[in-house]
Amino acid sequence: MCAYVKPDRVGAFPFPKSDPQVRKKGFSEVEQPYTKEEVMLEADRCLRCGNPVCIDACPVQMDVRGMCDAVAAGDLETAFHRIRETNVLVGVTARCCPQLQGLCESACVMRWQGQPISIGMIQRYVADWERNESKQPEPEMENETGKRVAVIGAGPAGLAAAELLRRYGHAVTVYEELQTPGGTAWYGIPDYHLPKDVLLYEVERIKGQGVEMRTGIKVGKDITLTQLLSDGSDVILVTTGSRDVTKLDTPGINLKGVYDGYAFLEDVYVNGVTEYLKHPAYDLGKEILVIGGGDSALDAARTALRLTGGNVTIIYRRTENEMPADPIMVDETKEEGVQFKFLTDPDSYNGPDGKLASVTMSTMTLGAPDATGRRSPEAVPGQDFEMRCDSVLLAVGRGPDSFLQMQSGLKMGKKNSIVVDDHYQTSMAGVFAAGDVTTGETLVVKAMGHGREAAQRVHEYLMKLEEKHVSLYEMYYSQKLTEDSYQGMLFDREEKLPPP
Amino acid sequence: MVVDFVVQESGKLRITIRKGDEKVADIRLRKDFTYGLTASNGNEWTLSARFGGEIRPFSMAVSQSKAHDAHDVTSGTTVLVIKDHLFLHNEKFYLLGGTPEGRPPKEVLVGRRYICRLDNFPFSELSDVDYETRSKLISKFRGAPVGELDGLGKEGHHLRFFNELEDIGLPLAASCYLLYSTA
Ligand SMILES: Cc1cc2nc3c(=O)[nH]c(=O)nc-3n(C[C@H](O)[C@H](O)[C@H](O)COP(=O)(O)OP(=O)(O)OC[C@H]3O[C@@H](n4cnc5c(N)ncnc54)[C@H](O)[C@@H]3O)c2cc1C
Ligand code: SF4
Repeated sequence: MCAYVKPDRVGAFPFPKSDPQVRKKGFSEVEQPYTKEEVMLEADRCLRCGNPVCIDACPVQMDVRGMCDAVAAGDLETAFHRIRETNVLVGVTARCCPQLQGLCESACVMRWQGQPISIGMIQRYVADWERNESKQPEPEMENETGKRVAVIGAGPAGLAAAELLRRYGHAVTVYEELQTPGGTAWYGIPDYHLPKDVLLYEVERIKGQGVEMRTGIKVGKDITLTQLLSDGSDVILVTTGSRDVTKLDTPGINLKGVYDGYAFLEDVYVNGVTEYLKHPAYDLGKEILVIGGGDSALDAARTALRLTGGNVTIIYRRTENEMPADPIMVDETKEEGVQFKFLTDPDSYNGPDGKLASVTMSTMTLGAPDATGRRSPEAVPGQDFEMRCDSVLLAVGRGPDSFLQMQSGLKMGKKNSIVVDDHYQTSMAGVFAAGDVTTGETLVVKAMGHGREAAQRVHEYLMKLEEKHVSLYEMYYSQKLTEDSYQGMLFDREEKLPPP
Repeated sequence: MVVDFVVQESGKLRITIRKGDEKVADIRLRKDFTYGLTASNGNEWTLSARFGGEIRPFSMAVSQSKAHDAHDVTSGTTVLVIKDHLFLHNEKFYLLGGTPEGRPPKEVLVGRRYICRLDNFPFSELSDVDYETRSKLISKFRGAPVGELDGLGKEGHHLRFFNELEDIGLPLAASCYLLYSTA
């Protein structure tokens, strides 16, 4: 039944990409789709495991195995419905998930054979087929319950939660501060990674299921949590995400030309790049330094490169081995010509007349391991040096958006996150919270998974089913046991043998 | 590496653990969906996906159900709990599938997985490890490699580790096979 494709014929790693010299001049997508033939062959490499660990590794338990099985047979419609069942942002997550970093592809047992199944690329093909060629109906909904839920924040956590609550039959209104829903996936993730029409289409589908979206409303300023509860909402679910950037006090940090990299990304993408280009708000010049070692630093650097065509250098205080950024994205960034300077840390920002002209850098060395097990960077005395530059973008991390919890008195924890109990309930009665505002910055799909688990708790609370709580993972797990479980695998697996 | 196991399906409903050429244990699925691990010397363990009132991905609890030595009082006690790829042994945390300190993360994206000891890990109990830390274990944390897992169960899942894990060797080998290598 399985036609095995040689691992290097098509596969997760490397995947087709556009030419770096061309792509760095614009905002079109880097990763290129498989052809129909390739996607079917790749899907058919899947072993259809009795114990699909790829699904265990997915925070929304997307039916990867079912998708591969259907795609291998050329049945894209079935494939779409299988994955859309638990993943409301199929096209978005296909593109944004770092699948090889602890998610589905890293768990896939074909990793032991050299190359895991290219799950993200198959998923992307299915999502794009549905969006461009064959619109599919929405999943079924339960009867109206007469209960009302207000979701605050239309990021991935809020969208995934709203959709699940709506499917349970509750009336759901999402309140979003920005004019466009999508959260950080809208205003933070660059277009070359996630074309915005993909996100907008999936948001429209959620609206089509009857979720009301009220944009341009900042809860805590335009309306309070107490008002929402007294105006008819039975429950509030707060999913306001991360926004507060890590503050640094390096001398000269307030000079003109030293910018917050997160605000920069938001300003470029929030109304679309075309709009930004009509009135560019940043004078970056041609020599640009980006400070940080995470994915956001890469995004700031690649966006700056596309806008200016200048020399962009990422400054990181440890070595490449300690960088938290997705290694595949690091490679893409290098391919486009962004430079990396490791073991370097800004000591002071310098410039006459309040305008940045250079940065004094410390040369670092690695000392003893810190709490993460990575060796700590330490400055080497007497080895400071100067780097001339026109601008600096700071992208050294951000934490939960603290505005609403500060304003409404919700109990706060680490980095001003909202504290929730095991039931996702906050310190205020009737108010639940989920996503990055409770956990710190994670990933689109992790925020979605968190939002869905919170939605399940909200549903149980509204319907007085708390005593019978079952997590979404357990629901999936018990289905696995009754359908084609280990038992099935052990009893009947001759036809599922891996390639010789 | 001083301890070396191969866990492999050896027929329907039968999984065998070998050390070199010698069979040292087998694993069986029970009707209640727990697994029985029986060593050749008579030791028995129960491996269960449900513990602490829940089932989580990449998590397993192993308790000793019968000890070889009749005077051994460890029977029935939990010898290993893996939660979200992490386990605590002799007051040290270990991560199944971590990135060894000093190694390029790109090298461990596919193929062999490393068991990494997380020195300086800022927690003392598994239950204390918060969501944010768990979600950054792959990207931000690094450890000392003290073991390796490799290979599909059907063809033989190989486990090699240093003797600091020897006393939980069989339960660990069985758990890794069940959590990472079955197809
Ligand atoms: C630059 C950058 C790039 C990233 N790239 C990736 C990537 O490639 N892949 C990936 O998986 N993850 C990526 N992430 C992380 C990912 O975007 C987040 O983890 C995810 O969006 C979190 O979802 P959320 O719903 O919890 O919060 P958010 O997405 O932050 O959404 C919160 C929403 O709440 C709204 N809001 C806040 N306060 C209020 C209020 N008072 N009233 C009304 N609305 C409010 C906000 O405007 C926002 O729309 C990236 C993050 C950044 C910063
Ligand atoms: S683990 Fe890999 S081979 Fe098995 S079902 Fe999932 S994608 Fe297919």
